[in-house]
Amino acid sequence: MLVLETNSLTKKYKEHLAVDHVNMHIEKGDIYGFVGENGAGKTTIIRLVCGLASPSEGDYNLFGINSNSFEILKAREKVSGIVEAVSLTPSLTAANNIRFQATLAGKKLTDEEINSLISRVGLNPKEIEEKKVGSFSLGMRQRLGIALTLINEPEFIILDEPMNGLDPKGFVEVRDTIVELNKQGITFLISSHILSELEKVCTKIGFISHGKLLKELPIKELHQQSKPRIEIESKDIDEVVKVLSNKLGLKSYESDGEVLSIYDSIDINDVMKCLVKNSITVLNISKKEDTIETYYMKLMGGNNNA
Amino acid sequence: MRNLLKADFFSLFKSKLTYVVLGICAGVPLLTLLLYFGLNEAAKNLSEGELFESLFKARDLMFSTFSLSSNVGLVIPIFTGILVMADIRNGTVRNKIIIGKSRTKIYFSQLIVSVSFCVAMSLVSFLVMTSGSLIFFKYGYTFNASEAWNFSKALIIGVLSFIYVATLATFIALSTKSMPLTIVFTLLVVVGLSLVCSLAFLVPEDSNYIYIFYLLPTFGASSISSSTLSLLTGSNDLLSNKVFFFCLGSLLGFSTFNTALGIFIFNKADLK
Repeated sequence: MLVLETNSLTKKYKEHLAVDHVNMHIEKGDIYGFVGENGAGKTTIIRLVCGLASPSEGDYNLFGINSNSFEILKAREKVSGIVEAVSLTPSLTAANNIRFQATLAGKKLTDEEINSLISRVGLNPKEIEEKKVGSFSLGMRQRLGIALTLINEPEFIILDEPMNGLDPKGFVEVRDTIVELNKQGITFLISSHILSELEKVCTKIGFISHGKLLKELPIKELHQQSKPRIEIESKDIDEVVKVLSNKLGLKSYESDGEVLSIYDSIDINDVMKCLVKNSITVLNISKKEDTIETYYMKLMGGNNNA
Repeated sequence: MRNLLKADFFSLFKSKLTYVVLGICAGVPLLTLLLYFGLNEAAKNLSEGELFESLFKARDLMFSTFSLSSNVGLVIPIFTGILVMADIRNGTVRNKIIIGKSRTKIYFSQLIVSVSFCVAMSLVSFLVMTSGSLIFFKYGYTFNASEAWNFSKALIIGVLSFIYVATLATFIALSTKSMPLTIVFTLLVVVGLSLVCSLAFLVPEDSNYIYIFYLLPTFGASSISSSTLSLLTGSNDLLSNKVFFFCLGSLLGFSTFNTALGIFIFNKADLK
């Protein structure tokens, strides 16, 4: 079942095309990672889907309900999220921010439930009891923001840059929370600059650039395409190819004149021994595998700042 | 809608600013009263035993709290703007939209909260001024059935004028999504229109041009808050029935217009 499907979704700001006929698909149970450079259109798509902005063209279906239908508000009741920055009232305590959000969602939480929610995102309820949210660090605000998204018991959570401001411990905690919630059946759409973190949690990735969705594919497929290889840097690549072809039966490889990439399943130790035996000078040798980052770089033609 | 209202009132009651502002609304008339009392005492001493009539009448002072261009009248647009803008500034309006609250309901909820706050501010100020002025000065008019009607008309127009200010501040806040613009525009409109209303003195009452002034949303508040106006018209009435009904229609009309336009713009707007 599709939780979110966009149909040629487009957003224009005067002459600037921020989102260009995007067709993305998020299925129930997905953790969909959104990857793109600054200004690629990730946040604009999220804002469109969250109802904060209206599309210039196209529409989307949320839980099968079209965005132009009045029923879309019913579908949104199953959604929660953080867009751009965590939305909190700085003059209130964390508990009162939670109470505010719970009241909005028509829920009455006990003090125990509020404390348990605060603990769940790695904050200490006792320590922050009296503190106003305005004095919280960015990381603490981020964690509290994630706690707020859970209040209306959503089926679909949208997180725009959830790792912003978090320390490495925070990364792990948020990642674990996302994975745990996903196991409980919650679908996620996450945009992040920290691609290595996305790779660890996502089940599907959408690559976006200049408002266009370049590609969306399951993470398993991405790993299958990632081609594990041995990379050798040498001043005499032709000689390296010749020796390895003769001695180890090298068949599948690529070379740019300075770096040789070997895709054959050969042991790296055998390669090193062979090159040493033949007195070939090697500047660098390593095992490589494509990450989201490298895949994205290739997709973008090597230019990105994500 | 109920949940939105509950949440917005929760936010209002939990904010220290609410109580500070209500304190200001009580403090300003109190200080004004003390100043008037001091002036009156000084004048009494200067009269050196001659028959002295008080400079101030309690009724005139009571309704001076409904002036939109001075004292609490200036505090109200500023704090209504701050109150309504808090939802936009903190981004909590985003949370409401994301979880499926309709924009029209969000607008109405904000409007009801800001109107309630405005009414609370104006009533606190009026009650302090009323009780204080009755302690220090005489009411100054015979309180009979006609005066009771006169008093009620002024109170209705006074409170409605502040409700109009709340609808204006809510409209500007949710349309411009900027606190400085909200405060500046609200003050400009309210003070500007009040100044224009003061030109009504120059227009003879039997001239048709006077109806233009009657239709301005600030005319009622200007009339009831200025004892000079009632002196000039040579009447004890704060508002004649004709003016009252014109002002009532104007305030309700402009408040409805602000709300309708505000909802239309807010529904179309992209939110950050």
